[in-house]
Amino acid sequence: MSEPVLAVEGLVKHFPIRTGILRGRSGAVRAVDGVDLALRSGRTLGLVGESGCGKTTTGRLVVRLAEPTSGRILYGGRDLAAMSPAELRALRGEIQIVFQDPYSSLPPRLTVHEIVAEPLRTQGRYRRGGRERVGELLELVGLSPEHANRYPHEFSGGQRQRVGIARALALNPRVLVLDEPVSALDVSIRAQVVNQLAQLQRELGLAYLFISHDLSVVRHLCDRVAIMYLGRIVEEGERAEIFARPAHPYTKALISAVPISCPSQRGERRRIVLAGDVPSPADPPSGCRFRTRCWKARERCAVEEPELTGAGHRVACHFPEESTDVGREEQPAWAGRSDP
Amino acid sequence: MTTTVTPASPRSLAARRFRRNRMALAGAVFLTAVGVLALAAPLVAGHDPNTVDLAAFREPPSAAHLLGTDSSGRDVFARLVHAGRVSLLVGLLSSLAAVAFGTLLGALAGMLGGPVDAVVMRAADVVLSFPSLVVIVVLAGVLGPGAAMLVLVFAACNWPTACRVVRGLTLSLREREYVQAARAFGAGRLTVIGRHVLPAVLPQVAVAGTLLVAQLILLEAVLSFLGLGVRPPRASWGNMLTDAQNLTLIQTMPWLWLPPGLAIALTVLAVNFVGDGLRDAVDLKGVRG
Amino acid sequence: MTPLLTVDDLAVEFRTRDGVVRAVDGVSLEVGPGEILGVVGESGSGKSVTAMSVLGLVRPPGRVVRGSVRFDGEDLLALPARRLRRIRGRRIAMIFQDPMTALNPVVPVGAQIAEAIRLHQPRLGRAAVRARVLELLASVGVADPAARYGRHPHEYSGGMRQRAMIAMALANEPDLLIADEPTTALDVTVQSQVLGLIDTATREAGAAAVLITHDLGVIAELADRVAVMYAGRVVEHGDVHQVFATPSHPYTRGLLAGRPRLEQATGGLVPIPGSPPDLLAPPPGCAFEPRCALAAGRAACRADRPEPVAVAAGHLSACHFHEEPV
Repeated sequence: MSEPVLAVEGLVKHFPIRTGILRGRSGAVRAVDGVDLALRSGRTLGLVGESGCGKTTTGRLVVRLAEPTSGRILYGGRDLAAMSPAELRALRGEIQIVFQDPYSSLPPRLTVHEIVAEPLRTQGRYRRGGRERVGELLELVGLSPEHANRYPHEFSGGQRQRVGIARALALNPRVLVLDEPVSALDVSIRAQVVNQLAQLQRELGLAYLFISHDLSVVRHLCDRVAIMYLGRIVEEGERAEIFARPAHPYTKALISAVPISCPSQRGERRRIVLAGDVPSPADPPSGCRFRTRCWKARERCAVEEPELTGAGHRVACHFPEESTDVGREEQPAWAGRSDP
Repeated sequence: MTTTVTPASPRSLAARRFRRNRMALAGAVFLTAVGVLALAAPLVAGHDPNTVDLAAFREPPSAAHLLGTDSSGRDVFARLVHAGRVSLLVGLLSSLAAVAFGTLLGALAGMLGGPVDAVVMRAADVVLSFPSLVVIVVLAGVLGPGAAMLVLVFAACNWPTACRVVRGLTLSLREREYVQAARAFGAGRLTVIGRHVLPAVLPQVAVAGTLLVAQLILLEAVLSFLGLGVRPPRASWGNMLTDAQNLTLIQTMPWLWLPPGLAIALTVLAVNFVGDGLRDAVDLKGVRG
Repeated sequence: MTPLLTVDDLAVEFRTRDGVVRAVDGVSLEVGPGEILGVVGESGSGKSVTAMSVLGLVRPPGRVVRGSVRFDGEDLLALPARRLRRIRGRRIAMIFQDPMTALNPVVPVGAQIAEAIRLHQPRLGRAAVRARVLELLASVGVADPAARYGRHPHEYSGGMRQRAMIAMALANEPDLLIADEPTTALDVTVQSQVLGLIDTATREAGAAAVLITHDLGVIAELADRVAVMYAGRVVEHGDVHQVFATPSHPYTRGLLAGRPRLEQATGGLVPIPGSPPDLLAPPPGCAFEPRCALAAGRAACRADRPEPVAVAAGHLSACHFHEEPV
């Protein structure tokens, strides 16, 4: 396999909790707690998890919109996490981000042209050929040049998202972090934008980090998938492997929870219902973080935190699932009763 | 998606909405008229505002003196238009200074946070805790009364309000995704302030500034009336009012107090209408998709 | 079997700064007793406004301009406010998308449910009301209801808040439950729990439900019948199995074909080109025509608004050319 364009090692982000008059540090929200990832040109890594798992924070760390507490972000042989803001500035354009909300990700007072031109201006690249470049970028994402003089509020959500993508591409990035790019869009528009993203990847050889909670979209677009829970990656592997033979109990539960696509499938799939709520990231359970909701948890799980082990398909579990289909899984004892 | 050709920039949409507001439009027209008169004061006055002519003592309006003469024989109309210059200038300049200074500090405080924020906010708190009238009286004693002093003092006492408002707006803007996107492609915090924060806070700031002008014109009039602001012979609407200080004069010689009184009231009213109109026009809720 | 709820040719307009928006433009629906009707549509389709109209919750600048909503024989739109209040919360209950805004943040959750009970059963004593609240909380799967009674909404997780809302809705044993995007704001694992809860609760109580969503998966899980809405109109409705297996209207077909699915072999997604129409100036003909591959610019589609016609028993589609394959 080729060398990764961007690799993340042991990435950690703790947000301090300050209490009391003197605002002393009384604890920390361990939003990202030791994450390893590898992004490759022309391939998409999906980062999946539910709210609070740390996937959005991870995305922001990769783009250096937040400062890592520790860990390394390796790009072009250098560690981005250790660079000064000045050194970073030159590399900024190469790792870009597309946000979820098409309504708040574009400045309302600038024309589309100005919005897409902004990165070029910031990096001093607008003077020579900037105008043409903006035109090229708009065409690249399927917008016409006459859209350039309009304002964001005149466009639909899907079109705005395209503008956001055009802006992210302005500085010729090699890595694109996509933070739930289609979640806020209408269902009939999602397919358009997803297809556009796939096409851009083919044409430009971009590496994508696709952050999402929607497993169906992830399955469609991603080559590899990593599942996050409470700040750690619990499973990672090739798409086909993950969906056909999920090894971590959480992955299994997630997949089983995705709504069916056709009423004829009712009753076919066994729904795995997880006990309890997601624990607070400020105070994660000892040992395996998932044990408070896992139907297989045993003593070892409370004592020893499982490491991510394996070759192409990695799992962090003391008792990973054997390869049986999700559908034929033996009914967990308490499934059907939900107990928050 | 729109198919019209008319420009749809937030600014032109706001301008359109402003024009539809009749009160605001009337106010704007009135202010333009007053402004023109004030600017052209030397040309339209007809008389020199400071020439004392004790022979023409408190004369009612006539062909020679459009609005009569005051207790020193000076032409009321001439004094009125010249005073307009002073009152308007003081109001405008001090509001502009207060708002500009406050906006800049507020944006810096909000964007840079940390010690900068703390220092600016504490300074604002200190300034706000002083009763402005007392400060003005004291400074008038120290610096000597006059229009320039007023501008300085008004600006110094009123910047914290704009500062706080802008800081609050900046704090919320800082988290908006388009600001984050700008940081992501390398824009420094100062660039972000210039390119995104200032244009975004401008509407609110303009509204606050306009309403402040009204307040300050009124305040100047009061202070000049009390002798703490603009002193004669220089004319100000406020000090023109000192001429009518007993009931007999008020009843029998309305031309002494009515022109400046009306001028103050109508101008302040007009400015408030314009301010309200601006506030409604820039209401961004209509702009969102 | 007489339907429990019949919406007939409902039209709702909103007066805005830029003109009149026809949010609902002639919608007809039916819900039988004990049946779950799924209403699916995207933003701007008018599905939420339709639901609000049923309960008389449309406020100016919105206004019902036409149509009737018959519930158990009475036209709700013609009822005086007092009669309508007796029905709301008692015989028809509603659950909203975001429980955080639907619940009062300063009142403990238990007290809010109690209030809902007391409004319609004023004669129940305090102890009886409290007991009923605890019973309800337990039935929707909130653990340790006695402790949770006094907690405020922000102390509940998203899933629990939605359960509390369901408890509140079911408190007075309604005949009809209207759920407007009840799971959209929830994580997928919680979503499946809440959907299961809605399913069992309504079936056990024998209540009917109208489930409004943009998510076809939710429809596939729960609905008995489905109505597809686009630009304020119903373009297709029928038995859920039939509509999914043999969708007739091009929009429905486009929606079904364009979804990424968990078990589908990957290939390009087939998107629906274009975007939803501007409701300020709805076209005289079919609202879907600009995006429709089947229309191919035909005059009938541009000029004449298609009425729903039967393509199979109990399965209607509003398309001029429903017989033609795409």
